[in-house]
Amino acid sequence: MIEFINATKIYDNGARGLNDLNLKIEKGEFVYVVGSSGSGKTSLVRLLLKETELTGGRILVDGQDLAKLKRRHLPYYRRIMGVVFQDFRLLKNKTVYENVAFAMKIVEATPREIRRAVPQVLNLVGLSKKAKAYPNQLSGGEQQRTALARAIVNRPPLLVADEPTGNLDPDTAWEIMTLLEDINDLGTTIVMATHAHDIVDTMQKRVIQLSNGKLVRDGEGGYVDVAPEPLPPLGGILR
Amino acid sequence: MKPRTFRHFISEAFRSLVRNRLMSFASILTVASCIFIVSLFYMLAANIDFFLMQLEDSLQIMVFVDEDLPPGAIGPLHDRIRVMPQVANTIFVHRDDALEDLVETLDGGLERIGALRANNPLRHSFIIELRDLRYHDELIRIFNDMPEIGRVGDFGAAADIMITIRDVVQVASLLLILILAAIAIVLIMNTIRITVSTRQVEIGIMKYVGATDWFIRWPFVIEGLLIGFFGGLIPAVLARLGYEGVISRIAGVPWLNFIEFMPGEAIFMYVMPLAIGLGVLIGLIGSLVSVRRYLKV
Repeated sequence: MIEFINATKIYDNGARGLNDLNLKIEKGEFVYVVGSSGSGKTSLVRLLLKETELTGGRILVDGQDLAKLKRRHLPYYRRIMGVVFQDFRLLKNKTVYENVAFAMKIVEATPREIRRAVPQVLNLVGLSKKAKAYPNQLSGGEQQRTALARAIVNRPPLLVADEPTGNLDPDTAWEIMTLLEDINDLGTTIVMATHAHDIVDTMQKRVIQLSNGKLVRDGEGGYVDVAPEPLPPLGGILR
Repeated sequence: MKPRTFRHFISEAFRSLVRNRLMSFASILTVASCIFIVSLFYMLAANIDFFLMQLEDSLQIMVFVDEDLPPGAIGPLHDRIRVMPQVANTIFVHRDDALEDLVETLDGGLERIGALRANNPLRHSFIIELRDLRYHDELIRIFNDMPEIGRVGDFGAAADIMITIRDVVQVASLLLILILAAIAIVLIMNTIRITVSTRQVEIGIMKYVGATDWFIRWPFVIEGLLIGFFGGLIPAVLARLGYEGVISRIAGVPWLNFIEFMPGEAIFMYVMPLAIGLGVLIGLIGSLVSVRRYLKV
């Protein structure tokens, strides 16, 4: 489903997002991307969303080389994945129902399809009773569940979640994780970037651990502390 | 694009207009103010032009036929003058008719009318209306060179002054309309840009969910068109209502009643489409330019 081949991302200020990363994620997998701040998690997510470009190597998603993807085809590429962010990113002026329906309107679903699918997915995330509420009337957990409903309503084969539990209390975070597991059970590939050690330790799924943009661990199990790479000497940075 | 998608855009545009009603109102007011000034200036320029045209029509060249020209040659001479490209119209005035006019004008002031009638000192003449004031000097030259013409009566420097006034008014009005339209475009672009920038986050989210640029752009474009349409319609209606009132008041002032104004129907045949068209164009350009920079996510 996803393949990073010698993927390197160097930002304009010289910071390395990814450093010669090689990895493969199969269809239906649930993968955690972990690492400390600045390890490259967010770069990996942003590259998957094609929000930024690689400076070296390749990324293949569903056999498609992202470097060759034209700008006008980007919206169609983004429709093969659902995205969930730490800050929910809901449309404030739309109700829960409208936020979810919006993702379907974009793909020009018929009103009938929308009327059928949105209540179903709201039921799945436990928000049927909040359909008419606006985001500012919801708790953090409810907002994230709305974002999750929006991400999966078009039944994308891939779900990318960037710190989806980052703004939630532990109980709510577990609710979201249970939901993600249910979605994965339905066959959706999930790539989740997270800081939450407890979740990674408990779920016992595949863990991709990054440090300074490099892959330092790829295997099942919990979070493992990896000694960070020594920082370059201060003089080197200043020069 | 499916019709229901377009319906979605229209409903989104209206919802956004209502939701951001303060900003929408400010935008409409901005466009309306600028277009109102443009309309006012257009009406003023059109009326000056109308006034000058009437004045031009009253300026004619009087050409007197040479005394020695045999009567049979007057017809062919009239034909030659009539077909000149610079000439709009000619009227032949027989010397007897000219005398009768003179007698009528003097209202019995001449004692020896009988003697004058017996030996008419006046000549046959042509009253010549010009196609354009610009041909004045050229025609005078042509007539002076014609042996059949005895004397040419012209209005001298008046023609040059009229041409200058007309040219200045035309160029100034065009320039001012262009400048005001440009100011209006800049103002509305800024207003729409503020509207769009407050929805930058919304646009970003739409892009992450897989919306195409046009899917995002359409509601903004329709919103811009609506703002422009109302921004054009309001000043057009206000100007229409105000125009009749103002000209009827001016007509009531004794020392100004020599001025004849363009009729309301004639002027609004142009002002109405100009105002609404300009508004719609401003709205379209403003929204397209403003939304473009936020689409690069």
